[in-house]
Amino acid sequence: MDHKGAFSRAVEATRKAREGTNNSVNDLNTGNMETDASTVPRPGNDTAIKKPKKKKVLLMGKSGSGKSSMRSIIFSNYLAKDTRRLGATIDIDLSHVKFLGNLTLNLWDCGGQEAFMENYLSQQRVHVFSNVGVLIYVFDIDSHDVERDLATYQSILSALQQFSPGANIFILIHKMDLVKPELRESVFTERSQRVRDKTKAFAKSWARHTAQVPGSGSPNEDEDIEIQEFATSIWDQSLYKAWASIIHDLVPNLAYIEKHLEQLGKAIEAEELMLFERTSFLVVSYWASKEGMRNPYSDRQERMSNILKSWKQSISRFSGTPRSNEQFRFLDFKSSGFSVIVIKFTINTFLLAVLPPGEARFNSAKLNIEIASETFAFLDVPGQYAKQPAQPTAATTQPTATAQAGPSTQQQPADDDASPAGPSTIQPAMAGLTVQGEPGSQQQSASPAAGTKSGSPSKAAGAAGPSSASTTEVESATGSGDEPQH
Amino acid sequence: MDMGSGRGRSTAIPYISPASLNLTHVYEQNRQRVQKQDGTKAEGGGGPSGQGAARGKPRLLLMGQRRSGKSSISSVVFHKMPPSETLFLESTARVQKESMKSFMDFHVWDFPGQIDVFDTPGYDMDAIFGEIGALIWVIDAQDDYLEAVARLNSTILDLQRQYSNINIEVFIHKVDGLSDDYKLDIQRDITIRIQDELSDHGFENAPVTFHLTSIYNHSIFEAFSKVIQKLIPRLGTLEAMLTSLCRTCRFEKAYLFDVLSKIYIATDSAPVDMASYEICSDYIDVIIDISEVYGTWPRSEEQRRQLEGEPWNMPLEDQISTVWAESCVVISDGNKPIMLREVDTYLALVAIMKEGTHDKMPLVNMNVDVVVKGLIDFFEITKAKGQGIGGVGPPELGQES
Repeated sequence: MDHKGAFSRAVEATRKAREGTNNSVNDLNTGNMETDASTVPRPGNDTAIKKPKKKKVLLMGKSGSGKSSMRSIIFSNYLAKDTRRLGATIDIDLSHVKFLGNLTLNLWDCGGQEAFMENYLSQQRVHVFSNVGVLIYVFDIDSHDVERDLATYQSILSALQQFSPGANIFILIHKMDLVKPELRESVFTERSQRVRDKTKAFAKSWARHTAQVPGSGSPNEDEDIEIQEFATSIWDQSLYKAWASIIHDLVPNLAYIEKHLEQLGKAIEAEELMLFERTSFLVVSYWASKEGMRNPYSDRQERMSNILKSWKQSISRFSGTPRSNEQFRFLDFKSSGFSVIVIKFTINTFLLAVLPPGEARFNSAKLNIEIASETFAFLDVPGQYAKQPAQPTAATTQPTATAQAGPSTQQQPADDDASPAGPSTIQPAMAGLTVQGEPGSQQQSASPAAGTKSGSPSKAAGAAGPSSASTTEVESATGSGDEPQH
Repeated sequence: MDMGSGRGRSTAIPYISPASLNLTHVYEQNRQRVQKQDGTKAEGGGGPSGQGAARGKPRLLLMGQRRSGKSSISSVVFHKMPPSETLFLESTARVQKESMKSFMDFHVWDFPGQIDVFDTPGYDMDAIFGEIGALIWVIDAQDDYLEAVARLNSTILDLQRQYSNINIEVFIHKVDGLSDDYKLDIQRDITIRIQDELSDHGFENAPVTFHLTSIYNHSIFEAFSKVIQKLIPRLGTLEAMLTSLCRTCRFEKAYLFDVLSKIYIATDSAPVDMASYEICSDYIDVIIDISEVYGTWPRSEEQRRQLEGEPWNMPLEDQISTVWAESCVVISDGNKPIMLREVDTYLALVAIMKEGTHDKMPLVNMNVDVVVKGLIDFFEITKAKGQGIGGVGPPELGQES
């Protein structure tokens, strides 16, 4: 398919313009990609949908390193340039971020001035460091006194090990935009190696310490403390990469979501699926087919987060509604090489699906996604759906009913003649989604079946449905089209 | 509206097909060399290159005081440079000539601010202004602009005597950060100074237009759109087609965009508002970004076989409804759809639709298909005319509707 449209041409031009100077910080993070994708679903998580939970997230680092800025961009719909307005954080700025309905993040944005830091480590030590789920420690790449930063980091680590030894630790090497693009990789490796060394040294001494005094703190068998480093900048998508990994482990019922996403993806022949949280547009879960995995853009998850979030802000400027509003509910794109749907999936999520080209495939995928959203509805109201997966049969019948009603109420002419084929398509796909361990073959053949019966790819067939009044409108448009020939 | 880019050309010049960019540049250089050596006007002998380039390629001249922002403008608009990076642009030492491959090929000539082409010998006025599309004069609104205005005045007077059909577009630039009242005050002041000077010399209704611009928002694209639109032959027909599409499909606003520069080359008759232009332009960005990630790598043969096999049993090319990209977004506020459709290699049609009309999409798409065919025909026809008539410029046009 060597067809060249305006967009493929524009893409080439933009890529050329970007080459060289504008290398995103994010390229450095590709090493972490593998570990994210291959996160093994935890056993036992499958059937039991967890109750709402709160997670304490500590955001720490030196004063002025950019903690509040990144928080505002991710969770409060700030633009990167808006963060200039932010002043220094005094003491601790506590915010509760509702994430995916049943997960609330208690974000402790800790002001980084030295006086505060000392206070956290002494008087408020228990208060700050107990029950921590995640520690995010931000290093400023532009810092003048790296040794001192590391010393502070070590004392924070020590307090954390004392009160919340199980907490996940993320290291963000921030403001990477200040480093020349060609140096970024080496600077990042160098800095993260120093942090790693420091952590290792601390872990050793901590293990010795706990061995000597058996009663103090909780015992720490393996002496290694695991950390994950990210190079970030608020000016590109690298921030989304880091935060998506941070929240990834916190999302409840992740294995359940991943499993059903995979089933949906297979049923609609998708190349790739991304599930976004609605306010932050962070990727909650992700699935790609074998073909989709071949995509050379390893940073596409955070790219899409970034693109869609700034699009949301553009719409907010247009509609004059607050940025926190939903802004759009549907976006599609069809070209000769691929199709994309971004659709409001559940109340708290958006789903992006990348499909191979084809009109019929697109339409049946759209319907299937709409129906599958029922299965994911528990993401919004945890209590109500908590017991459902225990009785898969009950769950199956309910969506099937919707399936039959679906296509006819859609009022989409393209699907009008397809309505007999519609439900039969959707039913097996749906069953695959809810009944666990269903063989994939049934879905595989079922979903495209809609295409053969209904999906004549030409639009003419689709538009044959509308009334005769509309046909005259088409006529008049034809007239105008011919105009220049006179 | 005055369209005549080549009006008043009487010398018969052999027609040369729009050669490749390189060739044009070589010709251009040769001609200048010949000029320097012989000290003669190269009008007859070396002329063809200029004519060949100009026939299908109007020329935009960027002029103004030094540091007024000319190079920044051309970098942002034609090279997609982020506005913040223009701070690092070096000052322009010599005339930068660039050819824009677009729906209509045009040249952008960026003149260094320190050179006054009228005072400096060695510039061939005919070569510069002979086949011009428009002269864009950039004035820094945040600076003392009296000198700039004085120079502009003398330029306009010089041009009016010899090349009276040149469109003069004044960009009152760097207006970001100025209050709305202050902007209008400046615009009024500059307008009056120029109009007074012109009428003192007996020129009434000179083709001078004023735009308030900044590279930090969409105003520069908007201004360029208006400049380019004046150069399009039979713009009226284009507008009439879009207006009729808007009427039949009940669109609120439709724009025909040049995708790369995000200049709109035509719109329907409804008044243009900044907000609708911005959202359409941002929409194009979104589509470009998505296409970059998913549309640029080749899919495997295995996948293709699978997609063409059971149960579809059709080559992939037959499964798609159109080779041109199309897209639609539904905005939550008022349930308003915006649709986008690729027209040809350079252009895209973007339209803001009436609230709650998303379920009429198939019908709308059919209508759009027809109009798009019409648009493609339109460009075929106008192109053929421009090229077919050798020495005589494109015919003078009135508004179609």
